[in-house]
Amino acid sequence: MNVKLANHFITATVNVLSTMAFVKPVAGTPYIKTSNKSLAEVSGTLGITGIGIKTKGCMTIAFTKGSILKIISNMLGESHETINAEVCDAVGEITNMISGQARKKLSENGQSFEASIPTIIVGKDQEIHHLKLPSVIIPFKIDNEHFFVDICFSD
Amino acid sequence: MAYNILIVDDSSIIRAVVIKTLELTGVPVNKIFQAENGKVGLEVLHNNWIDLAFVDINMPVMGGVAMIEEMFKDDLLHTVPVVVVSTEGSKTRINELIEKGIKGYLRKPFQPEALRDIIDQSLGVQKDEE
Repeated sequence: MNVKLANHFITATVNVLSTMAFVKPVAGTPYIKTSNKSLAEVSGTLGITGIGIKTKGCMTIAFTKGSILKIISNMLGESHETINAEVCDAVGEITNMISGQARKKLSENGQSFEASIPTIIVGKDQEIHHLKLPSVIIPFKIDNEHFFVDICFSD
Repeated sequence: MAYNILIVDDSSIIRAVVIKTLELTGVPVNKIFQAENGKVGLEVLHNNWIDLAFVDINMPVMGGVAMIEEMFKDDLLHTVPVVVVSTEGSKTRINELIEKGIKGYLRKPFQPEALRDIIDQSLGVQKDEE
């Protein structure tokens, strides 16, 4: 998978969360995914398809309970303590915004991409199977909380 | 003058974020109306005086494009300034909406300054009026 592509998703993730939730996520070293088990308690996932090109893929963002509650509390300026419908709504919007910013960057090369509506998965023991392609995990940290961006693209 | 503002978005979180960001802009607001889709948005517009409408594109029941098209067919509603607030990345689609007559487009996520600028631009507020 193209490294530039991963960088677009890292930049988009930092931009979206710093603008919406006033947090500055720090990206760790990306690694190849070896298990289909969900990495955290709540995930947003969507498919991305190139228009007029063969490139297609998907993006998942998996938040630990601590990380998403911190983000939501910052976004709304009020404390949240449980993963509920409002939190799932926020995960969907964050997934959409990150995908939108990354797709905008990708379109600067003259390629256009469309994204599906995000699906939200709650539960750490869920399995998420992507395309039969290598999937790259980018770990992020906000203070002591973690979340993960998982991207998988065909060239 | 304080404005009546309508926010049409199926995400309650995004509506809350827009309201919170509006507070940060210092724009004088009289009343904020909320709608979870275009159909409800049109009902609010028919029943209330709205100075500015923020409209998402992708919503269930009635999306933003269909809502805007209905507004432009209406003798009174076509005068209400509309700003599309969306993650929509397609320049073609955004240009189509601008050609239809929307006042502006704000990509999510956005800073308070961007929201303030697009409100001023949409309502024709000059900087020296503030």
